This record gives sequence, structure tokens and C-alpha cells, in this order.
Amino acid sequence: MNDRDPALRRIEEALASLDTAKRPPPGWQAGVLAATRSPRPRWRPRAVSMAAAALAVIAILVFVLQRTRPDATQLSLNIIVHPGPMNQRGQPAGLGDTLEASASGAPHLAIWIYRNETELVVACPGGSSCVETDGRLRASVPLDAVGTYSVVALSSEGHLPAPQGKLDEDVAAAARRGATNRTESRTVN
Amino acid sequence: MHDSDRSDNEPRERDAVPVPDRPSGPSPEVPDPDQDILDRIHVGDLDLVIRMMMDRYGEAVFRFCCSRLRNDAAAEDVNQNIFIQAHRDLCSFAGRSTLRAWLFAIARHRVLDALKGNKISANSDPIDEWHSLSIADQRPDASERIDDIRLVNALRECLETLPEPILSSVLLRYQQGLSFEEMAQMNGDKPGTLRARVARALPRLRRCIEYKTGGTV
Repeated sequence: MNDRDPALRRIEEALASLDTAKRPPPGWQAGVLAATRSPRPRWRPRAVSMAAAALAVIAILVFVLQRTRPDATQLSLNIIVHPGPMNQRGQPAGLGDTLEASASGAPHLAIWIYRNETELVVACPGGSSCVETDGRLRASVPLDAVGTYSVVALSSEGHLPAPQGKLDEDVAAAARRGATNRTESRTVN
Repeated sequence: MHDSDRSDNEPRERDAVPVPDRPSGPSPEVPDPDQDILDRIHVGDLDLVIRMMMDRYGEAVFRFCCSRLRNDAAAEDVNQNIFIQAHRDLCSFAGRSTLRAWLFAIARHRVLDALKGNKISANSDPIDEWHSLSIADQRPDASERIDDIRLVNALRECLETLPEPILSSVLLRYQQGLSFEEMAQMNGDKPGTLRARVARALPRLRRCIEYKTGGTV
């Protein structure tokens, strides 16, 4: 970029290469998406803010009233294994099957699936294997390698951290932020 | 008010080197590389927009955070918060700058917040011991050329001695490749001011590196 002084050009090149090896951790995008899933105002001039404040009071009253009803935001996790062509009847999970996990709970929700607790294979929301419909997350993963697949559903009032790739550490990090979780596993032999 | 304002306004033409520019920000003649994302903003598909932005700029923003914070864990948190804020504020993006410049403006502010919050050194004292030495003083043995590893290590330390507006300008210019016009869109400075700021910084970095390593860049 600078052809007048080789030393300065070398400094420019060093600046350009600074921290090129740095990458954000796996699943970081899922953390962002989870954080952005909560409803937010798109346009809020002052007059509307006043009305919003009044509505907020009403919403609080409704919320208090609903506390007496069963908690609709309680975390739930369901797992279904769809048998593949290689699976024999009656086998709980086998190579070629597809594991589908669905979870509900609000407002911040995520499904993380690990293989052998140390390999993050799905971080939902995020990725093509993750679908969200009507406040319910659904993630699927092909069981294409042997091991134990641990499915963790998390729900939190605040933002969930991005999973780093190790089940115990990720769940502990989420718990530190007040998240609740449910975990189930399936083993493929 | 940064201490850097003082040094940034000092006439130091002796040190300044001409800095060539790159293609500028939004221009009718230059197609915007983010036009596909802008099209999605206009139709309100914000979730898709933020995914596209994360795919395109996630690593670059993270690099910027790492270089400024020098703490990977802090950089991860700040990087996430930058895109969360971008998603929240996309509706207010008016196109007065490139999308990239807008995103890096958010990044710069969030990094500064993190530096203040964590009481990480914000380079409040830009005057280092090397700064007052003459060029001749700093090269007692100019025969040794610094190898790349030592150069980068010294560069990291020397960047920390630059005051904030200069440090961010240098990184945005050379690490991220923003044009001076794009950088001007971020904070209201004039492109010429930014160009002069960066031009003055390079010889300072060189002196600092050579002082710290005892070699020649």
C-alpha cells in the first residue's frame, strides 16, 4: 500500500495480518439469534412510548393473574428418533437414524446437541437443521457416528451464552446466567 | 475527552507519511458489496439480515475486538453484543454510511464500553519513553532486521501506546481495510483528518517497535 518506505509497508502488512487466526467460538451466531428472538419495538416515538407504558402496566397485571395458571413457559423437551433404512425394528437408536429434538419455553430458548459430551453437533437456533415455529424450537441431527448424543434444552429470561463445545462447561455457563435446562441422551452403538 | 485529542492535533508533519486511499463508501458509481443485505433490510427480513451480516463480518469484527481488547473471552462477549445491537438497530439504519462502516461504528463503541467497564488500559497516556527520542537515538544497532514474530509482538505492545482515536483508526484502516471515507462516516471526522492521523501513527509505531526490539523494521 505504501511504496515509499519498506519499513512502513512492513508495519502495514503486520497490521493487516494481526489476529488473522482468531475466530469466534463455534455456535456464537446461535447465541446472537437466541438473544434477538425476544420481541422488541421497531418504532417508538414519544407518544407511542406513553401508550406502551400503559400497556406495560396492563401486561404486568395479566402476567400476575396468569401466575395462578399452569406455567406455559416451563421448559419442555421431547426427543424422537426416526429410524433410517439400516435400523432394525426395536433398536432405540442406530446409525443412519435421525434424532429430532423439540423444546418449548420462553423467552430465550436453545437446543444444543453434543456427541460424547465434547463435540457440539447442533446449536439451535442457528443452522439449517434448526426450525422455529410458534415459539417451539425443533432441531434434527443425523446419527452418522457411534457415540452418546446428549440433547440439552435451555430456557432463560436473559440472553443465553454461545456454547463452546463441551457439555458440562456450556451448561454451567448457561446456569450462571440463570438458565434452566433439561438433558436427555441417546446412545448409538 | 481523550488525551489523544491533544496529540492528534499536534502538528507533526515531520512524521507524516502519505497514505493512499482505497475505494470509498457508498457511491452511485461503485456497486455496494452489501447490496444484497440492504435489499433484505428494505423488505424487513431482519433475522435473515443479521445472519448474512454475521456470516460476512463476524470474523472481521471479532478480529477487531481481539486486537483492541487482547482478551479472547471479553472479545467473544463484545462480538455477540455488537451483532445483538446491530439486529436491534437495523430499522434505524438510514444508509448514510456503508453497512460495514455502520457495523464497525457499533463495534468501536462497544469495545470502548468494555475497556471502560473492565478498567482495561485505554491508553490514556500516549507519551511513551520512546516517543521523545530522536530517530538516531533509537537505532543503536541498525544492522539487525526484526523477524516477523518479534515485529508482531512489538507491534501489539506499541499499538497499546497509541491513544484511542488513533488506535482505532489504524486498525480500521489497515486491519479491516476501511477507506477513510467510510471511517469518516462512522464518527463525523473529515477523511483528511483521519488520513493525517493514520499517517502520523505509522512512524510512531516504527520508532516504538525499533526501540523495543533494538532492531530495524
